[in-house]
Amino acid sequence: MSDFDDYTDDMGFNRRTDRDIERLLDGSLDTPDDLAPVSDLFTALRAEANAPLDADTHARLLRSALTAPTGDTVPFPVTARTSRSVVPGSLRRRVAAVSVALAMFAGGMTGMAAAADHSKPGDALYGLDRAFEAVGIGNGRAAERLAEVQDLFDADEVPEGLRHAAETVDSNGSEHTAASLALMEAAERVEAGSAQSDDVRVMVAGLLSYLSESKGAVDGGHVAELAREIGRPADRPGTPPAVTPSDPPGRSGDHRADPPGKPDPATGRKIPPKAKP
Amino acid sequence: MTIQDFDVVLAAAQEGSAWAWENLVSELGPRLVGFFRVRGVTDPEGLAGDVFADIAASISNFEGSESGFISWVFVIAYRRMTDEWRRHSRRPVEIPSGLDSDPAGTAPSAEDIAMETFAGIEAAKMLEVLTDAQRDVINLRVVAGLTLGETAQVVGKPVGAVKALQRRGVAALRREISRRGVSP
Repeated sequence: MSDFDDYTDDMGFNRRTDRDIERLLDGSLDTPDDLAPVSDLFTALRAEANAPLDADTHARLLRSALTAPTGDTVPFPVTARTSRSVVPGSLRRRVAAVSVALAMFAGGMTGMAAAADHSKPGDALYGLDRAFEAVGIGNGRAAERLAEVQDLFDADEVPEGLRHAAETVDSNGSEHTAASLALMEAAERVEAGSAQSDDVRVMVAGLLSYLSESKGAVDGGHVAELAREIGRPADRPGTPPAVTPSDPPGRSGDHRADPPGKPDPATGRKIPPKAKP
Repeated sequence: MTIQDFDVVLAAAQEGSAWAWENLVSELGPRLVGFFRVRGVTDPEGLAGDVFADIAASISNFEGSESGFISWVFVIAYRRMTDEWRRHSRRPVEIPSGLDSDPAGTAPSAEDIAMETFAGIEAAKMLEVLTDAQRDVINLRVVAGLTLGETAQVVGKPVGAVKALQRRGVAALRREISRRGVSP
């Protein structure tokens, strides 16, 4: 096909609306025309997924479901985050503020601790939440910290999520300092935008999976190893291009508005310097 | 994708009823296995089993619609898959064909024709021309049968970004099919 053919071909495709593409993807495009080959490809792929499982596989999957331990072992606390993430941050902060006012009116410190417990980094009540935890009030468990890290990643605040993970890991003991440092360095690399965002996402998902599965018993060396992979410049051919820009510094969820070197009021630790853009 | 009487099935599954899990495995199992297979997971059935174990462990805490449930299932699947890649040198090892069955003695349906067209070059391998992000989106839309919104939730990107990815993915597939000289 000549360059001119390519050009006119692409012009034809560019006239396709988003609705056409939607119909192609869900299999309801009646007149695919120029998209007929892609439509056939999708039909073949869909046929694979629509084929019923063989009896052995069906039995295997059913056994996995029926013999799984139930209870509070939630490896991916998605439900709560999904419902929370659809609420705009400003509304969430206002609701939290109203909650704390009501809590103070109704029950004093206990209610206030409960309201603060649902805050996340960047929320007005988050410092209060950590302060309560420091004196033994409120959850303050690894699971809560992990959910906060996940929230930040979900909001595309990857550097901030990595810094929060660094804090969380560091609070587990001095042997985790290397992991914490590696996570802080990863945050700086991501913030500097030196890596492909898709690779960052994959590596961050791997880190989260490990943290979820370790349920508090974190191997600092392994976390450091995972962190060092995050944000490394791509060094292999065929790496996909970046799809979304890395998170700009100074987003609304940034709870590190204080200058570097000043102690964090919630943790007492020094705030590390932000990465240079 | 629809699960008949979803609310009833969900409530029963939360109570551990075998019939409800039968239903969920029948509805979601093929899509999970297909999703993993197309993405080159070495043991798609095993990983789907892990996903069902995760679902069973957490389902008592789930509240929401059918669409939310399906998104949740595939978020778990997506994370399981990325974790699997990390364990196995971060990349899919090989895409098994598994797409070349052609039942004999039946009148050719649209699916049969499509399968015949792509049998020789393996449909799943065609997706290798896409970037990882495009492939995930196309796979979730076509193989897993997720909606645009559900897909955006699973991959953690805005709907607009998913739209752009799927459009670029379709354009790339169209060019690749043309380059290979495949015609329906």
